Parts: sequence; C-alpha cells; structure tokens
Amino acid sequence: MTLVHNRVPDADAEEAVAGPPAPTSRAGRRPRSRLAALPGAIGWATVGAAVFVAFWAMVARSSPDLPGPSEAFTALRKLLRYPFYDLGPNDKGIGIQLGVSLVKVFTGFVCAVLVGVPLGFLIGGSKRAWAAFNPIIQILRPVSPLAWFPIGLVVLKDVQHAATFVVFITSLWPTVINTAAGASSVPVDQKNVARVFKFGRAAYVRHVVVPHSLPSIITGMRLSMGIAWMVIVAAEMLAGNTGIGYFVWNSYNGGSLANVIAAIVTIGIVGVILDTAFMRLGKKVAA
Amino acid sequence: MLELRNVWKSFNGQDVLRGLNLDVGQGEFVSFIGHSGCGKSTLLNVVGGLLDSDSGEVSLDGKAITAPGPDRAMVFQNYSLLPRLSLLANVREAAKAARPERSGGQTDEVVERYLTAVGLWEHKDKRPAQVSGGMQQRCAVARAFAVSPRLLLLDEPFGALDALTRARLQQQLVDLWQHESTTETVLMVTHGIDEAILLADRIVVMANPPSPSIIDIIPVDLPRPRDRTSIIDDPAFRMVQERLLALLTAEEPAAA
Repeated sequence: MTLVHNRVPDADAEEAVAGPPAPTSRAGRRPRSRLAALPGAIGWATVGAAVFVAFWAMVARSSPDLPGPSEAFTALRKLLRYPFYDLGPNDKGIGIQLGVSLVKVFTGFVCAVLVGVPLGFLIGGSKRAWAAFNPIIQILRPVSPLAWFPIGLVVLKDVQHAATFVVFITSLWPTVINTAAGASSVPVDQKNVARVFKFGRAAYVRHVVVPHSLPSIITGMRLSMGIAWMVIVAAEMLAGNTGIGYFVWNSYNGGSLANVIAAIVTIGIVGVILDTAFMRLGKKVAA
Repeated sequence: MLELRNVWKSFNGQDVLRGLNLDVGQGEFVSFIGHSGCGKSTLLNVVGGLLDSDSGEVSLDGKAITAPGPDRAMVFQNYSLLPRLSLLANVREAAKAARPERSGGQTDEVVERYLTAVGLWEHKDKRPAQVSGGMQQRCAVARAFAVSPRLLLLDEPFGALDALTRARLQQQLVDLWQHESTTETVLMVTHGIDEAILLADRIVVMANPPSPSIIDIIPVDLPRPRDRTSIIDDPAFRMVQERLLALLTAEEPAAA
C-alpha cells in the first residue's frame, strides 16, 4: 500500500517522540517499580544535564560571544521574574510573548484539525478520494513552512494572520495523513461485521471508522502540534512585532544572546508540556 | 431451503470451490469439516453474502444470495466484536442495523433476551477486552441471534476456546437454536470431529484439490437432546467418528 510509509504507527511514534520505551513497559508489568525507578530516572537525567552543561560551558569559554550557562540562567531568572510586563510594542515580558504565540499556534492548529480530520476520513475511506488528493498532499507536504508565508500575507493581508496561516498549513499534513491511515486500516473482520449486520453509512462511520481511527487521529494531532510549535518561532521571526519568535529575533538584534538562550529553554519546556498533554490524551483514548 | 448449484470460486488461480452442490433443509444443523484451505470458510462466506461465487447458483428459498441480509447472521472465528463498544452496544447496534423495521422497544427486548440467555446481562456494560474469550464469543452468538436470522452461519466459533468453555458454549448454542429462537438452520465450520458429531444432523466433509470439494456427506443419526458424556459410547457416534477419521487421514495434505 502506498500509505504505509506515510503512516506513523502509534507505537513507533511513541518511541520516536518519547524516547526508549523500555522503562514504561517495565513499569507497566510491575506497577510498583515505576515509583522505585523514579530516583534512578531523576539521577540519570541529572547526569545527562550535567554533561550537557559542562560541554556548553567549555564551548562558551573558548567562544567569548556565546554566553555560558550561568549567564543564561541569570537571564532566564530575570525574564521569569516579571513575565507579563508591558513597556510598549518592543518591550514585553516573555509570558506575554509566549501567550501571543500560543494563541496563534492554537488557532492554526484547531483550523488544521477541523479541516484535516474530515479530509483524512474522506481520503482514508475512499480509494478515489485517495487517488485524487494523495499526489497533491505528497507535493505540498515537504515544502518548507516559511514558503507559505508570502501566500498567507497576500491572501490574509496581515502579518500575524500570515503566521497563523503558516501554522495551519504545516500542521495540516500530519493530521490528514494519520487520520487517513487510521480510516483506511479498519480490520477486515470489523468491516465484515458491518456488512453482515447491514450497518448503514452513518452507523459504520460512527461505530467502526471513528473509534478505530481515534488513536491515529490523536497521534496526528500530537505530531501537528509539535510541528506547529516549532514553526511558529520561525514564522514570527519573519512576521515581527509580537510572539516568542519575534522575542528571540529582537533579543539577538539587541545583542542579548543570553536572552535568546533563555527563550530557547522556555520554548523547549512549553513544547514538552504540549507534547505531554497530547500523549496523555492519546493514552486516555487508547484505554 | 438453502441450495447451492455448481458453485465455483477461485483465489489466485486456485480453485477453492469446485462445482459444489449442496441442499440444506429447513431445521437442519450441518457441520463442515476438512483440512485448512479446503474452502469451508469460503463456502460459508459465499452463503453469508460476503463473497461472490465465480459461477453457479446460491439461493435461499429460491431467492439468489448476492449480499449479506438479515435472514443470515454470522459468528466469526475471532469473535469480531467492535472493540470500543460495550457488549450491550455491540448486540444492540447490530440488531438495530440489521432489523431497522423493529421499534426501539422491540430491539431492546430482543437484545436483553439473548444477552441474558448467554449469561452476559450483568456484564453488558463491559468492553470486549474486559471479558474473557468465551464471554466475547457468547456475545457474538447473542449478537447473531438478536438479528433473528433464519440461517445461522458459524465459522469455527469455538476453535479458540478452552475445552470446558467450548463444551458450555456448544450446549448454549443448541439450546438457543432449538428452544429460544426462530432460527431454523445452522451451518457450522469446524475443525473438531467430536464437535461436528455432537452438534450436527449432517456432516459435510470437504477436501483440497485434486479431490472434489465435497468428498462425503455423513448423516448423524443420534437422537436429541444429546448428552456429551454418554454419546461417546453410542455405536452410531463411534461409527461416524471412525469414518470421519478415515476420510480426513486419507485426505491429509502431503506437506503436513
């Protein structure tokens, strides 16, 4: 099937995004050992972080323009002390910038889900729709997100909306493809049940296709959200004015690389929170 | 009631059903037995309307079978319950879809009757994954009966179950068929010789090429109700058993 290499099977996606699966599966077999393993996990995470910070400090020492860990940490603390201050268009707290970015990300993401899930069902459910749309999707999917920016700008006539549009377009594909993969992989025996018991179209979609596709849809949404959060930073560097991406660019232009690094850390943490939320949702749905 | 005339079906150039002829009378319980690949499941799917035959005629009461219909219900080998619906919803949605002419109250009544008959009413809100394989298959049996089919099609329904569960379910199936439903005729594909004899009025023995599709049809002249423990000593049981064994051993594929 042509679909296979596009599909992100749930288990693989989990592995790719969440790291080695061994601890979880071990914890799954013996629930109590998860708690027992926690100090070890924290310990090893500390070791990893220490190695990373040491390496960073080493590089920073030999490259005087790059702030070291302590400088960056100080900058981060300063940023987080007053996250919501607002001193005019070019000087806002990092909390405000993050909020602005999140609003754009969620707007684009929600639009992508609203379009992508029904489109995915259509493509996954009908060979003709698949044949009609798959080539277009395959061509548009690998296009760099920022290439869409001028089009958004021309159509929507607003820089911020153009950034939202970029988020929409890039987070569309994983949702479409995963939904289609889910909808097209309904097991034969479930199809046979629907045929033998004369399920109508509505009952088939409601009781067979949607429940079967739900885990793949959530996986698609999780990938979409991950991409959306990555893309917004780049889009806002281009768009200017507001958002965490603009903040990064503005800090660079203002010569404060420590702020850039602090912002990177913040972006990463927000990304982890978003991803974890979708992972939890996925587990809840799978249960 | 059910007529198959010169039915052919092939997959990838392999003739699975080869000019098959069979008549099944009203009220009969017919078992189909044979080695893997002999086409017994294919035959069941053709009767169920899930597969089209390449040529030949398949008809129920003179009406050609071209698609699934509420006059026939199937129980699949691997239970095939919808995993995200409760047991109750599995039975109810199937009954509703297959019998849209019933009122909601009628559907609910039928669903409750059969779920109770298979002893699942108190588990009705559980999902399939939360109950044992035997309970899942009981639910699948209840689902099939809830459609009130004239013809019940069973594809190795008890193959995946342990011996005790299988024995209980066989009994339940016969009780439902004989006393609790309007279902008249049962076709059952099986691997079990004893199961075939215990349940069936006739046993159709099927074979791989180059033999014809049906190599023998053995009547089982044992009075009902049949008792699984005492029936084994019945000379008629022994006779059928030996004949089946002889046929199936002779037909053993060389590769096996």
